[in-house]
Amino acid sequence: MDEQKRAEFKKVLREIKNLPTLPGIVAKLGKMAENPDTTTEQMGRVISKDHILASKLLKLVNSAFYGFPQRISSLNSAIILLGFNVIKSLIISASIFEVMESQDVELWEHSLGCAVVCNVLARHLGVKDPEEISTAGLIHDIGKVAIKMELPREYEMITALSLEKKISRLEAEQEILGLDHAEVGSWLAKSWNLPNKLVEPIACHHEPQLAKEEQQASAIVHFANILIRGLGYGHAGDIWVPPLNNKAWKLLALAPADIDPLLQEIEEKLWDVKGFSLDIQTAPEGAA
Amino acid sequence: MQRILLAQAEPGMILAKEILNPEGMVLCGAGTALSEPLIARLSGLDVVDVTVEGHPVNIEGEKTLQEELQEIDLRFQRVEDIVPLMYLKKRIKAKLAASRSTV
Amino acid sequence: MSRILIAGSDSLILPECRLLLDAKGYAMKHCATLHDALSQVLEDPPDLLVTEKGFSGKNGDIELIRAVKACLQKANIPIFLVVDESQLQVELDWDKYPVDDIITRPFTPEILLTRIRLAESRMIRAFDNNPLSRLPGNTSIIRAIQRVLGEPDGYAVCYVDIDNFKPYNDRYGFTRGDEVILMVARVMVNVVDELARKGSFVGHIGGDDFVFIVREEMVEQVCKKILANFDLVRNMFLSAEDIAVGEFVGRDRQDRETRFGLLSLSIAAVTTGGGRYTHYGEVSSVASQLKHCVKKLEGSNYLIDRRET
Repeated sequence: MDEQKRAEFKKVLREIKNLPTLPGIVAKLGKMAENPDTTTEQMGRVISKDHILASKLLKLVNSAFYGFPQRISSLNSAIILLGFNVIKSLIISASIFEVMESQDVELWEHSLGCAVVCNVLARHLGVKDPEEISTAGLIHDIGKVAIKMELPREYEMITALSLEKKISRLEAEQEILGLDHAEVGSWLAKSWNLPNKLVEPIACHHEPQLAKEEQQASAIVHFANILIRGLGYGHAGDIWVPPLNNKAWKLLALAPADIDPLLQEIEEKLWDVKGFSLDIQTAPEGAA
Repeated sequence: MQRILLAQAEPGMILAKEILNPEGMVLCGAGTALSEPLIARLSGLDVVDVTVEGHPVNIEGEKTLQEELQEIDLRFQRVEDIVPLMYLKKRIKAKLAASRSTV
Repeated sequence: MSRILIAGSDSLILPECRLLLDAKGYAMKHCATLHDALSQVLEDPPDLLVTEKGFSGKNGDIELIRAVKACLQKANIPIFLVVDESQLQVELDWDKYPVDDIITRPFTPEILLTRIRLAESRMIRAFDNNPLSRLPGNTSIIRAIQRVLGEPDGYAVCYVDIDNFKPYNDRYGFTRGDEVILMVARVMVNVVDELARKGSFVGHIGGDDFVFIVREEMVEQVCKKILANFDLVRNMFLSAEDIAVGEFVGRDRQDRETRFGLLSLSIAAVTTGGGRYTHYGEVSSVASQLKHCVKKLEGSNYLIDRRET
């Protein structure tokens, strides 16, 4: 791979000219979250000024991939129960997720499914912050969208190469660009000031053994990605189920007996998110 | 199980999931067999879709069980040397086959 | 964790390492053969085992490790495997060597000490967390209280519990009860994080009992916020009719029909400045008395004890 070419691609991807900018409110909330004097009510007031954002947030929080058994009906309750940092990540992720839906609906579906599996796995493993992991699952493939939008020609070449040589998209990306969507995704996540809890799993979702601080979260997103692809839910750019990293697998410590109940729960939750869309204009979800 | 529109429901189908009203109260428990009068009643209560056992409704363009199983094998082709993934594949196929069998 | 078993050649742990560990209060026992090491492990299990790859001829190391991990009581003993860097050229099968840490030769005494301390800390973290809330449990709580008692700055150790929790469980079921516990944990953690993170601690004693520690000057603000936030979310866990009536009827511990108020929190806060207390037992004792008073009050309340020495 020509170093200069790689550097050029990197530059284009870092600049992300074509991805819509995040709503201004995100930067404002970011500053507020960092300020130790900010109260829940202040944050709630800022968010609720944007009605649409507030409804999207509530919709996200109440969806099957965050899985609160009770319905959270007010923004303040959501902030109280999740804390500002999680809310901030959710707002950013909601915007990213919407972009995905408009750009690549099958990838979006795959990401939705991945978030559901992350949620099920995180709860099964009893982790402290299942919401952050589900959010990482929701946006782990944002790098693919960035490549599609910034380098459309190369994106097509990657698809073609992957089909022709029967290799994974990741391998095709490395061949054509000298970098891959996990790397790109992590740059974006960092540039949006998402916490390391989200950045690392995005960066390491194909190579979880490289995670330093968020090993468990990375292992969960890694396996959730594999599982949802095994189920054929959505389309992530190639048909191949990616390899499972041994270290991550050991970290998850799942036993064969765990698989069936997990698959069952995942199936049920996937039904629950059918028809999920952040676009408020679409028809409401079916009864029950 | 299969989620279908109430309009597609027919007597004899068995509910795989309970039906809840908007307040969360159970209208019909899982395992209930659907009958003409029950379907009519649910329709009157504005129930839009239900989840039934098996796979009684053939949706156009939907693949046969055979085709789906083959697809699963193909998907996992590049990871045949990874034991936990082969087990996972086995269970996914088993589940699919079980859900498609009309009881 | 103070007793270390060293299973290896004489050069496994060098004299300067022994000196340092000795000075830090660790007692070491050395065994050069597999037979001796196995006997030690079986008769008088150590708190930590250090062995080396290639111990006692072929597969001695594997046998020893397996013996330790096989016995349930001893499975929690951390095992360190000392290896030469060159031995890592061949990837080790970690299933055969289920050790907790590896140390490459040569290593300084400081490295060995650090690894031992880390293993101790890991042990406590792994077994001490409450299975429901994942918050630290009793061992960590006691340590946290002792830590602040030793600091010059004043802190407040606050005991939180949910009023009328048993009747709530009886009425709404244990699953809902668990959800309430989780909700209270979240509310507390988020408030402490947002208002008073520095030097703070949040722990879960068990059931519906929690402890949090914040700097003394923040205690009123934190208590008020926790109670206010709790009030905002509490209705998610109650039925519309109970909320409308403002109470519900249930049975008390003597099985008599009684009226119970809806979910509320009681916080008993004990301040620790000025070297007032030296032992965590004193703190929990004062808290008990305080709790007795605060629970008598209706609704959610907090009481702060600021007695002077």
